[in-house]
Amino acid sequence: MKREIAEHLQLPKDLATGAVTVTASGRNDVMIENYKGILEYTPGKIILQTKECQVEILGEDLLISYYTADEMKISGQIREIVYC
Amino acid sequence: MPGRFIRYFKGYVRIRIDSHLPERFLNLCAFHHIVLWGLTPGSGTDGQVVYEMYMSIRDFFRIRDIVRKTKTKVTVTGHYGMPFFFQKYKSRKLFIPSVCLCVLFIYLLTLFIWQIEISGLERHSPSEILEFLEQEQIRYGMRKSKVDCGYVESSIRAQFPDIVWVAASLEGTNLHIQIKENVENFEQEETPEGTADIVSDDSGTVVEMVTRTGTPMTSVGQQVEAGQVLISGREAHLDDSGTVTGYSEGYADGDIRLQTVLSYEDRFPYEHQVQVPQKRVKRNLTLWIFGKKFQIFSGKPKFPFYKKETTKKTLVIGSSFYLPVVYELTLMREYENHMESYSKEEAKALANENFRRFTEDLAKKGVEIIENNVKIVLMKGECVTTGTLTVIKSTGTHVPMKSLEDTAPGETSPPQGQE
Repeated sequence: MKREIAEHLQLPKDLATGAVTVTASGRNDVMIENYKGILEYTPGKIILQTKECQVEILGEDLLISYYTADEMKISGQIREIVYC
Repeated sequence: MPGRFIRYFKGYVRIRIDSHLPERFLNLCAFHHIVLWGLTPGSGTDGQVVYEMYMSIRDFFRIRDIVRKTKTKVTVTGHYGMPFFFQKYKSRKLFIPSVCLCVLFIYLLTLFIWQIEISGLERHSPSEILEFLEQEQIRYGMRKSKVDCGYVESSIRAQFPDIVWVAASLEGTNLHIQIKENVENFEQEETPEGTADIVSDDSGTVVEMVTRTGTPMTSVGQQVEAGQVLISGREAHLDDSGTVTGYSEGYADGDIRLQTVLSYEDRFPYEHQVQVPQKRVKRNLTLWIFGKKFQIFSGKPKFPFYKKETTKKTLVIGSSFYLPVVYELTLMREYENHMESYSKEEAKALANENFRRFTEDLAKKGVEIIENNVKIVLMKGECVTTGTLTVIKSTGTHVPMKSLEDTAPGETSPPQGQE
């Protein structure tokens, strides 16, 4: 319902539905917005809880460059981004 | 970059958290708008995952409730920033005044001229200009506010007429003077006074001759000897019947080119001395602080043979903040003399190189080589390069004119067929 209204009103989906925004720059940096929290953080895996699903970032030497309530930046050798 | 500066200004800590619920700790921090950065996971002593992260001092005091709620053990592993810097040096009471004094001293240094740089000189030497500036009270160590660049420019132009353009500017503690000289005008020769003949420097055949002033005593194609008068400064006055009625004397002027033969000889032994660098180096250091000389390291090296390299520099911060400290570093590098012998190829190459330099020097003097009969002979013990070169070169030297009484009859008469 929310999605349909947002589509009709041409509102950005991340604002209207709180969808997670994942911006990957190359394979070394990922910027994530609209998440709820961290579920797991190891050098090889970061699992984030978002409103709709979980996002898994898999790779090597993963490092959270900064972490605030709104956004986080993950650096390292990123192999996969999985939505589950 | 500004973010980094603000963090440093406010101060921040690196902490390690050890908890069964580290993710909960992180999420609570985010919920309470506590900014974390440089978050890295690691392993603790009992195999449990621990996290290390940076946070500001202000946020560090806000995590007390979160720590209690998540039963987290927090260890501070490092503290950074200005507040900690001042805390560290709080007990050293003289530190802050010393820093302030240092800043004040540097500020005072910026008020004076500690370098006078002169560029663009070709004929005049920098010391000549500096000497003149010294007379005009423009000197090393004077107040910058007292330097009038316009006055410096006009006074240099007035003192040195051949300097056509001067620009003086203050850059930091450096007075930069750019100069352009009128080289062409300066090179013009003044018209000589008195009387003189032009005599030949060499023996040979005249191949080109231009007479501007005086009477030509030879002509193109004629053989001349060294010392022979080529252009006489004496000109005969003839009446309508062609009889000489008198002479006027002047300064002979003209250009004469001769075809002549030059002999070339160059010989060097195969055995020669070479300088082999050694490891020992003796360093001497001299400082000039506010113009006063201080010899820091001095003395002669203990080894007999050495090469001297000297570097003199003014200390400078950035590109133009020169300080009143000049250092001169002298390196004396030891070498030993060894005897070595040239191989045939090396000797030939060296002989060729010497001959090439000789011909280059001739070319610079305007000598044109038209025939080359020089040969390299590798003899026992030495390499000999010998032979002759047929060249065309300018000749003629001014000599004082002989009086008419000293001149042999017919000596001042021009050759047959010469106008």
